[in-house]
Amino acid sequence: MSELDASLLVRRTRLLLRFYPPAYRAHRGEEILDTLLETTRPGRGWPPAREVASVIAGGLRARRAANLGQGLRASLRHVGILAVAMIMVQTPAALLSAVGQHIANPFHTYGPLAGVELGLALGSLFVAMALAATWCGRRWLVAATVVAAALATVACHLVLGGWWATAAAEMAVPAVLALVVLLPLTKRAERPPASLLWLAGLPLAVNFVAGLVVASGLDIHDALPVPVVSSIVLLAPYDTYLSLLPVLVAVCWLATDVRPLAAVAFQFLLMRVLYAAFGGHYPSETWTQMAIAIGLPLALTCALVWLLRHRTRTAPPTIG
Amino acid sequence: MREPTYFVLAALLRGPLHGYAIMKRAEELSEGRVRLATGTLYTALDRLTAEGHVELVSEERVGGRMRRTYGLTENGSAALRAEAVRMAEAARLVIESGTGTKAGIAARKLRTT
Repeated sequence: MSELDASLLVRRTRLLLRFYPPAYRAHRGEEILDTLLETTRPGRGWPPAREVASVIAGGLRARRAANLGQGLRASLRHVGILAVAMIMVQTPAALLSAVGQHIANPFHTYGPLAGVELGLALGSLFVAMALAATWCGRRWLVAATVVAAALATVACHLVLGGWWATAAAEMAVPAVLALVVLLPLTKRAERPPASLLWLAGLPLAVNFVAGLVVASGLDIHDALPVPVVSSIVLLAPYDTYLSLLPVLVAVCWLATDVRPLAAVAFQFLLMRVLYAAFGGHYPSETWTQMAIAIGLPLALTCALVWLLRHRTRTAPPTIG
Repeated sequence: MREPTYFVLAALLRGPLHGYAIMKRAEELSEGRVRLATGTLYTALDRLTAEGHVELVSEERVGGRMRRTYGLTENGSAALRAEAVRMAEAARLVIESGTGTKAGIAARKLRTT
């Protein structure tokens, strides 16, 4: 084998090793590389297909073990944080949507936006602060944000009157409640993973749960009144044929980590319950439809939590 | 104990080996029946090391790359022997009862009459 061929093979094999998590690669990468090169006949540009498949499967298994490394309690905490984060992200998403509509049509029947937009912008700032504080494990900062967000909501309600006040409260109340939920979930010693793969896989998880809802015969807009806004915003990057690679990465990632899918299902459940508690249900919606809209995410959340528990119990040892 | 695990441990009976050598030795011992792939081998080695059946014996750099050699521990050796005895017992039950052979069928008929 020429030196050029050998270096090409090494480069490709290293690329293949990226299926393993970084910590595992740092510990075993060179060793696996050495073994893979030994199994490859001279002159070949890639290791044999069987070896490639086994490295991919081994890498995904190692990632799955690494994702569960902090134990079931920490995993459930991460599910909660992610679900709450998704609920809170809907406020900035609604703000962007309203601003977009206003720019496209300033004389729209919604009228001037000054008061509500200011409130929403402030709310978004609180959301960003609370999420950053949670990710860093700063519980006092989350508590301060809860108080500030609650005060801002009350002030907004007092200053604005009529429909605007109701609209602002409808958007702010879930965010304030979500912030309260974040408090006990925030732990310095158990920081949620900071991998960018979480961003790639979330829209797919949203799409999956939304797809299940539609498949059960419900209109997505009726079944999920609020999450649909954020779902559309989140799914936008995947709305093209060019996005096949991120979709594949997202599928692989979801196979190794149950948490985001559980978080999405839990978020849909929370939003639906909050909506039923504060906004009632659509006049056209029957009790059966409402039961399905709550029962489906509930069943999915329970099934995924069971899977998480099972996987944590049977996980192989974490290396690296 | 699963067959690949059994042959990984069996491959180390004669002495410590590195990854590729374990794969070759396991294939040889199983007469080609167990062909370990790289990903499977390292998953098995991670588990066996965590369980205390296998240990890291040495690390060396060969051609700029890391090569680790693994050996069987006392625990691993005992587990392998226990599994071999269990399989031998299971095989003896079947072979001595003569199941499926003409002699076995005749013997069973005699016992039932």
